[in-house]
Amino acid sequence: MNTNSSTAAQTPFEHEVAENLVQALQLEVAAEDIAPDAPLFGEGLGLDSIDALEIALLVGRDYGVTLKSDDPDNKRIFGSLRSLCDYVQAHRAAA
Amino acid sequence: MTRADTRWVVPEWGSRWVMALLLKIAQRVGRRRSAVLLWPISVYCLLAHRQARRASRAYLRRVLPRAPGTLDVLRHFHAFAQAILDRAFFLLGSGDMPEIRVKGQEVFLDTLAAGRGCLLLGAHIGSFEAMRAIGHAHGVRMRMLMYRDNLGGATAALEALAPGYAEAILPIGPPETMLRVADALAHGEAVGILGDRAARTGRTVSASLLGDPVDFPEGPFRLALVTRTPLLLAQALRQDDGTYEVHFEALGLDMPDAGEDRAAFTHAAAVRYAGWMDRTCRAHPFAWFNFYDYWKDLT
Repeated sequence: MNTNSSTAAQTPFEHEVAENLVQALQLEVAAEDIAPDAPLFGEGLGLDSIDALEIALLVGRDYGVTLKSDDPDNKRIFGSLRSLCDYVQAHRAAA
Repeated sequence: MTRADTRWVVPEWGSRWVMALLLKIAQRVGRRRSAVLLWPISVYCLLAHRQARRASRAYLRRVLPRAPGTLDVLRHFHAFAQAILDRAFFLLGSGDMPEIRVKGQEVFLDTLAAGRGCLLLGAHIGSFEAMRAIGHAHGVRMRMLMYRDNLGGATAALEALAPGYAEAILPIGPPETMLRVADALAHGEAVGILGDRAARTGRTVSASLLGDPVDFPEGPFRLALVTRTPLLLAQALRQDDGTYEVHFEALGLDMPDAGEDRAAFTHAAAVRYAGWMDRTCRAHPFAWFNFYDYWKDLT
């Protein structure tokens, strides 16, 4: 997919979240190898909806941000590391 | 594609309109009297569905103490047809439902009383619909987590009998599926899962069943771990007198703390689950409703 370095580089916050994900989900990839734009579910990192639940629990615990089951934007929020981090940062800032 | 296996559709024999017609007749003449239709239907299915016939025989060879004959296969098909007929009347929810008795009710009610919800892990053995009726009788909201991608026409016709049935289903698929499950559990609901069929793409854990290894979906055990929800093994089996006996038992494994080895837990849990299926199949050999190449050894 997109290997352009300007979009493939993780921001510091993305890297922090990626490290938490790798640890919590016991993933077999290095945090820095998670491309911020790549799909987290299905084809990309191959996460499933139980992982999504763990992600939700994790961002709730670490950042106080609640991901809701009925949010119409869930598909986008869970779409990639970047969209997840954008959502978390936006809602953490609002709190 | 991430669709669940199309081979699962095989047991969903029949088209929507044939099923709808049969259900109309069954409703008209009642549950007991419509049972006479089941033998001719079973004979027809036996003749028409070679794959299912072979799968049945391969399964029966594992579970029966003798070599299975055509009559055993016919009896197996008949048990499945009977289960579908009973399911129709459970779905209708009328006074014509089969009678249900419960064993291990305390396990179920005590678990729910703790307020953290409960995962009910079943298999395609017997009737899960009877279990829902139990929940209803106790005022427990019970929902089923299941694949809906390749729903057959016959099943659609069946489920159309129960208005609002869709609300009882949590469809597997979108990322937020398990967030919805977690919400349901947090409300103290029971969530049912059938754990004996793995999707082609999902993560699996292997355990031995009736002599050979089977890849079971890891999902139910991981879900129990992540939500820290107690998991009960649940079955509802038809007895010779036409009543159903529901049985709950605790999985009986302590969950590891966060960060500890999950793989060891999911493996131990799968071994227990397979052992429970094994015992159930041997005690009720004709209640097994996986009519496809379950052990992947038929060519």
